[in-house]
Amino acid sequence: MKKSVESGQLLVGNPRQIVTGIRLAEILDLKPGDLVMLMAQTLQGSLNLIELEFAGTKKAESSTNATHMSAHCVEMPLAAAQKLLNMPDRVSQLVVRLENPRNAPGLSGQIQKALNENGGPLFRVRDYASIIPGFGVNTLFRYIGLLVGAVFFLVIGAGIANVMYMSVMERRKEIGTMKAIGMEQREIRRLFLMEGGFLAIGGILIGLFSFLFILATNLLDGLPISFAFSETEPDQVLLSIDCGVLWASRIITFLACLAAACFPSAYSARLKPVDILREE
Amino acid sequence: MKKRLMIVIPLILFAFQATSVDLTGREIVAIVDDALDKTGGLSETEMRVYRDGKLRKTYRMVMKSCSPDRILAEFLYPPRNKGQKFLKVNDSLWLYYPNTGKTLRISAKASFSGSDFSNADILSVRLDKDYEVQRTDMEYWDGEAVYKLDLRAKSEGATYSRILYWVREKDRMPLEREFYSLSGLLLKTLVMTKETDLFEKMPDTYIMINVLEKNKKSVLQYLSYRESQALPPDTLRQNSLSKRR
Repeated sequence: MKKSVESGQLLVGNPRQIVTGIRLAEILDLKPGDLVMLMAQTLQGSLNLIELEFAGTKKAESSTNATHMSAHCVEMPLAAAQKLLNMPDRVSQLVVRLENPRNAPGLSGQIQKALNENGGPLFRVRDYASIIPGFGVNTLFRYIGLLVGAVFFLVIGAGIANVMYMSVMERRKEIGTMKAIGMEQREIRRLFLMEGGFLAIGGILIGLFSFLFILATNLLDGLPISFAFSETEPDQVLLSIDCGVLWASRIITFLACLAAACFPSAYSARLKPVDILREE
Repeated sequence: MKKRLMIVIPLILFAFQATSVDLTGREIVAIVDDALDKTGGLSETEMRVYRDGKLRKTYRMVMKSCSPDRILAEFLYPPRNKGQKFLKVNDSLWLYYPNTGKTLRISAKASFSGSDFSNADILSVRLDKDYEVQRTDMEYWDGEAVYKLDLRAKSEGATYSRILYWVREKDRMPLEREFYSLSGLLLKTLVMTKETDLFEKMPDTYIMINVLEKNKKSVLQYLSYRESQALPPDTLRQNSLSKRR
């Protein structure tokens, strides 16, 4: 647990302590030992306010909503939370956070079984998809994202293929000369494949640096990006970066470039030097 | 004749004093609630929101009602909020957005359009319904006798758990309220003053001071008031918010 503490200390037996995310501590300018007033609505609907001592900050977790958690979540002893919500000796819900939320439907059954094995109170485990009716829209957006990605891939692939094809066509004379002085088909094919590979690496590097620049600019401006539809119902757009998606896009772009270079390189390698050199 | 007058006048004075002293806390709150209750009339108010000591936002709204249980507040200014309506029907509160045509149910405890007032502070006019009242000691503010009343929520669903309320004895003019949370910590202070001659004996300016955050306050001031403008019963309903009236 201590590994998850960024500064200060974790909650150590003191029922009046609180730990926050780094971003929230920055916003509130908190230092260990400061008093924090925490206001909440109780289960019955009354406003309650308690005073707690700021113990330290929690390290950001490597999850998709880490920025949101860092800016909005606090941790406190159960007794303090029960006092704040006016629910002495009562726990109504246990929330389990999964590293991969997509595993929730499968894991909820296993968790329910494990919790109810030892007797005692009966637990009912539900995932967000069953609690929030509109939660399924996330899956829909994921599929839309994949579809848009596939269209982009096709467009980019076609663009690269076109560039490579044009590049071969414009250098027919050079190819003919190379073949005339004894260059083999395999070598000419490799030459054009390497050109496609370098083009891909160059494109990936330009894309990566542009992305890092945009990210750094946004971080300086303060993430997450938030806006309000109305004053009473603020909403937030959270920017999350999936390293898996980043690597996948790089590899796919590289492979697309090589695939696009394959046809022109094979075509160029098959050309006869006599025919090419006779062309006007 | 002079002797008789000398006996009668102290008797009358004693009777008046006895009446004022004998009022229970609940009776005092009911009297003040009656005086502050502007339902049945048409009032235009201005709300100013101050942050870090500077005026940040100004709102103007008109308030209409059928009864104390059915009150409507409609924004007239600024243009961004124009047409937004807050409706109270019994214990339920609704907010209507003209741009989207959507009506949302809102909490009585939530902030009224980003100000330091809660929705209930603006739309719930009577305290005697939700609070048990106890009268504590008399206090003296600038040499004037002031009732100090201790209001405790009848149920946990009330907006505040406890309210300390100061009312001037001589004219029953409410002066100040302190709002406390369930744990007993002070949340907000409401100072009521009379800045204009709009109402004869009642305050026309309400200053809500946020105790939890420095230099935050909101001021609600009555600009005009017309009596006997009550809307017909049951006119104000959630599904009639989109209609223009």
